[in-house]
Amino acid sequence: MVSEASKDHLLFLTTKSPWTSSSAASCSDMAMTAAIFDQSVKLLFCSDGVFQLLKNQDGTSCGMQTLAKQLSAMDLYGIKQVYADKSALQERGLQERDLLQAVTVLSCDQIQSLIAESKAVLVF
Amino acid sequence: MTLHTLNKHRSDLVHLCISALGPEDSLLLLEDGVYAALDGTHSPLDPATLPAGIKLYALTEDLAARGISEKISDVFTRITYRDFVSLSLACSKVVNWN
Amino acid sequence: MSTFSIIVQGAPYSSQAASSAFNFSKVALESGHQIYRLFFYQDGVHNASALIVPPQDEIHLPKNWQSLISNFKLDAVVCIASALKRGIVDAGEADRYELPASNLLPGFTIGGLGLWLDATLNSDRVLNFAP
Repeated sequence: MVSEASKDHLLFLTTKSPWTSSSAASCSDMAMTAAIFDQSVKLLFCSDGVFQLLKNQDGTSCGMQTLAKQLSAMDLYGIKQVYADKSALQERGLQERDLLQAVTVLSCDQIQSLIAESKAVLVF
Repeated sequence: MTLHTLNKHRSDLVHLCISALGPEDSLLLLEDGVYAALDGTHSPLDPATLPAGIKLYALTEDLAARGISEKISDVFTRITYRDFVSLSLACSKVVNWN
Repeated sequence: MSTFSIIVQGAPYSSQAASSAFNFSKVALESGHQIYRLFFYQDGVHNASALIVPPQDEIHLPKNWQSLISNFKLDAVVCIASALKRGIVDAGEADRYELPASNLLPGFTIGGLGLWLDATLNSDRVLNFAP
C-alpha cells in the first residue's frame, strides 16, 4: 500500500503522436508549468505518444511547430523523471537509441504502480 | 483505489486503459466508451481477465443517447451523472482516459 | 461537501467533451459540492466565445456555462495561450494586440496555466474532459 504522504508527484501521461493534434503539446505545456512552479513532475509516454520522443523531427517542411525541440529542454525545466511504456516502444520497433533523451522503460505493472503513487494523473 | 473513465471506443486506448487498471480500481465508460460495454462482442472488458475486484460502470445518459441501454453486458452497472460525482469522491483519484 | 476543478478541452458542438463537462459540473453543484475553478484549455476556450449562434433547436452551451457561472459564482478561467491562438480575447487583450473587437463572454476571465496548477493543488478532485 502506498501511503498518502508519499503521493507527492503529478503524473502526465501522453498517448498521441505530436503531429495528430495539439494534445501532445498541451501535455508538455502543463507539465512544464507544474515543474516551473516547483512541483514534482513525472512524464510517461504511452501508445503513439512515444513518437514524440523520436530524434530528427522537424516540422518546418509542413509549417508545423516541432514539439521535440521543446521536449529536449525538459531537463532544464526540472522534469527529470521521464518514462516510456515498454510495449509501446516494442510494438513500434523503437530502440532507446532512437529517442532524443534517456527514458526509464516501464512494464504494465510498473505503470499501474506509478499511477497509484501519483497525487494526480492527467491523460492527454 | 482509482476511478478510471474511458470516453472512446478505440482499441488502442481501451487496451491501454485496461493495462493500467490496478486491483480494486473502478472503470466508468462514458461518451463513446460505452460501446465497449455491448454484450455479445469480444470486449476485452472481461472480469475473468481483469485484475481482482475491478468494478465496471457505464453512464446511463450516454447509453440512452446511443440506444444501447438494454444491450450491454450484465457485468456493467449503469450509473447516472449523480452517481459519477459520488464515485469520483469515493475513489482516491480520477484518471480520465481520452 | 467536496471541491472539484474541471478542465474543459473540447469546443462546443465539435465533440461531446464540453457537454459532458457541463453535465458533470451542474450535477456536482446541485449535489451540494463546490467547484474551485473551471479551466478552459485548448479548443475548450471556444466555450467562452460571445459570438456563437447555434440553431434554435440546439442547446446553447456557452450561455448555459454563463448561467451556471453566474448562479453559483464560479471562477471560470480561459487559458490565455490557448485563447489568443484561437481568437478568443477580452477587451484588454484586444487593446494590447490592436484587434478590431473582443469576444470573451462575460463571466469568464482570461488567465495563465498557473491557475490550472493552483486549481489542481487546491481541489479534492480534478476531472479532465477532453475530446
